[in-house]
Amino acid sequence: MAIIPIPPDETERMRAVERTGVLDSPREPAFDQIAELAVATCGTNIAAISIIDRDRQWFKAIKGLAVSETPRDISFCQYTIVQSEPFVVEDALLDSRFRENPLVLDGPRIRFYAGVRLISQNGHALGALCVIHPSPMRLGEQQMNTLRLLARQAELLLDIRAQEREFRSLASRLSSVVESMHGAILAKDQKGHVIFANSAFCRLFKASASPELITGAEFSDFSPAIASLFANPEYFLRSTCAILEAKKVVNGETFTMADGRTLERDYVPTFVGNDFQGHMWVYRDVTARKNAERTIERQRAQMAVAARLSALGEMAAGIAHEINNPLAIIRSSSQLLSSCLEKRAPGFDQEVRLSAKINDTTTRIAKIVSNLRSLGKADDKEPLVCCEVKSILHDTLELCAARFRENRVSLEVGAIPEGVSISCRPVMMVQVLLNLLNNAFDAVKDLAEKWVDVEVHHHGSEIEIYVTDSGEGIPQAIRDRIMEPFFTTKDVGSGTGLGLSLARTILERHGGTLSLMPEYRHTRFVVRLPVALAQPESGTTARAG
Amino acid sequence: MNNEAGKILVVEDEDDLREIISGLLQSVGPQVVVAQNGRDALRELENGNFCAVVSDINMPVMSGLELLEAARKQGRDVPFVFVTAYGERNNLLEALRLGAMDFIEKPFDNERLVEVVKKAVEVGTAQLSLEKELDRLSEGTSASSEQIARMRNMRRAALLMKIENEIYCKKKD
Repeated sequence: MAIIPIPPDETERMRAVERTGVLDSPREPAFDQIAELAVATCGTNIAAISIIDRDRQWFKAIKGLAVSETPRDISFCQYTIVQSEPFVVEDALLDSRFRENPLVLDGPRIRFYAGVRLISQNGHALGALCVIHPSPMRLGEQQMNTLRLLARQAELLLDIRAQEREFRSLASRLSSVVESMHGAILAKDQKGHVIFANSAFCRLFKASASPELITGAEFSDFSPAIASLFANPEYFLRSTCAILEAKKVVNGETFTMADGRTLERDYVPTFVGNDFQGHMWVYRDVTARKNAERTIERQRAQMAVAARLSALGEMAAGIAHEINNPLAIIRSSSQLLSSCLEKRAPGFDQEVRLSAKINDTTTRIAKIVSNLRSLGKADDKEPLVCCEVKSILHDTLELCAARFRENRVSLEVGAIPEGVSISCRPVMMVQVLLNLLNNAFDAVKDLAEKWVDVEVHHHGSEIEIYVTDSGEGIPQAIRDRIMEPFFTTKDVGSGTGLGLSLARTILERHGGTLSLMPEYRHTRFVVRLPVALAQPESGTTARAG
Repeated sequence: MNNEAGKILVVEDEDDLREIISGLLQSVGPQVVVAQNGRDALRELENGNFCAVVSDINMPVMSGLELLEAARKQGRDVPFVFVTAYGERNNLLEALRLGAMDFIEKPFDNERLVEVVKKAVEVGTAQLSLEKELDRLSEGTSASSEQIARMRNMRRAALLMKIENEIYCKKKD
């Protein structure tokens, strides 16, 4: 047996064969017809489109013989693929390479063979188009030319199969990427029919069918009404119409959904030349990101306030001395003046009153200075003690109950959870609650309906104290400012404008928060504090009992 | 007790305030002496009998606390009342540790100032008369100076306790 010819590019050639995906594929009329044409042209009994695999030749099409493959080492076509010119054996019995070939001695008893190799798009031989006859013969020039043309047709077909295969695999990879993408994607053609929608999109818009069923249809047929999906459907429709009209890329437009989620969407139109081909919408759920952004924003604002307060506190400590000295002069002088005037009374009522006013004012200034100092002062030196919430509330109520009673403001206190303690500086906590209660009192004392309500809730590691008054809430315009130092809604002279900011600062130093609940129909503040881990003895017994 | 009553020393760097305080204290003691800072005050203390010192804390040249410390080093037990614009606990604790009797925060009520200083004057006056009595006693004995010193201390302590008792009981009524 002669030496088997191995093409120098065998590895790349095999890769090219695999790329076609044609090996072991079903028979196809297009290839069969080429074989038939070859038989008709050349007048042979047999024609085949043979693909040379690693160790066999496999027939994509074969006419005149009922086999699907033969071993490579006995094939004629293995010779064809290593030469650019057609390979012709006019009589196999006269050729030393084939004289003892089983295909010659037995089976089809080949005597004549003519093959033209089939080249892939990138120049590797895939196999051959060949004609075979059981008796010696010779092909005319016309017949050889036609065989060459038919081979080119077979090459084209193989190339198309390879491209189709690649396209299919790409499409399936793409669709799995699209499917697994976090974003919801909808692509439509120029008529508005769905080209594809991923399941994220179907879920987002609560479609009643799977992505496969939606393809080719109008998405709106499967989706609930837009009005039920969006918090502001008019805005959504208006914006969508404008975008569809403009056909320009839009990035990061945000919407609020009816269920409170925040969505962001992109619009990408597709053009071939100047022709609009359709477009793609990509929606992303950015609720978590937006919430995180809001939290960060809030924390930054809190930090800014804390920094400002601390600077204020430092300054206040510095100027306390400078202010209190002259203040002492004013106060003492006004008191001296009062006693002088009283000795000469009557007739100085007006002067006595004015002098008393000076005295009261010095008290107020001194209080402002002292509050300012505590705002920024590092009062953390005072030790934290574990104290029951109930006792803090009782102390607070004791201090202000009389004032409420005297002014006929009803003060309701809900059930206070037993045995819940917080780690705190109790005097400061009383100061915070007293401040809230006094603010509430001042807000309602002149209203027709006047009540203040205190509720305490215990959730796991947190205690919440709600202070609600019968007022109508705090106007939107000043909500953000009420906890700023020096902001006050009270009449000039009746408040220092430091109460809430001081309360908040104290709570923050205790790991808690003070917030206004703007959505509530009355004015409602909530104090949140972490519950102490170690409960005092009394608490444990109270629960056990 | 009143015949040899001591003077009150007012130490304050702010002119107007010094004037006001000394004016207010005219009713408490027979004579009020003023100083602008700790150093001047220390010089005054060396020269005369004082039954109370009413002093600012934060002053140029020598602070109120330094004045108190220096006075105690010289063996002067005169009661100190601080009038301070600071109100900082650290300063006040330090003052009490050094032996201050009381303190008032600025701005203060005139009545309260008078009241606090009156108390200090009572203690201071008692101390002064005790010192004189001890001086008189020690003149006629043959006891050693050491024995005299010990006796002085014991009597002083006993008397101080008695005085303080009287004052605080009177306050409670």
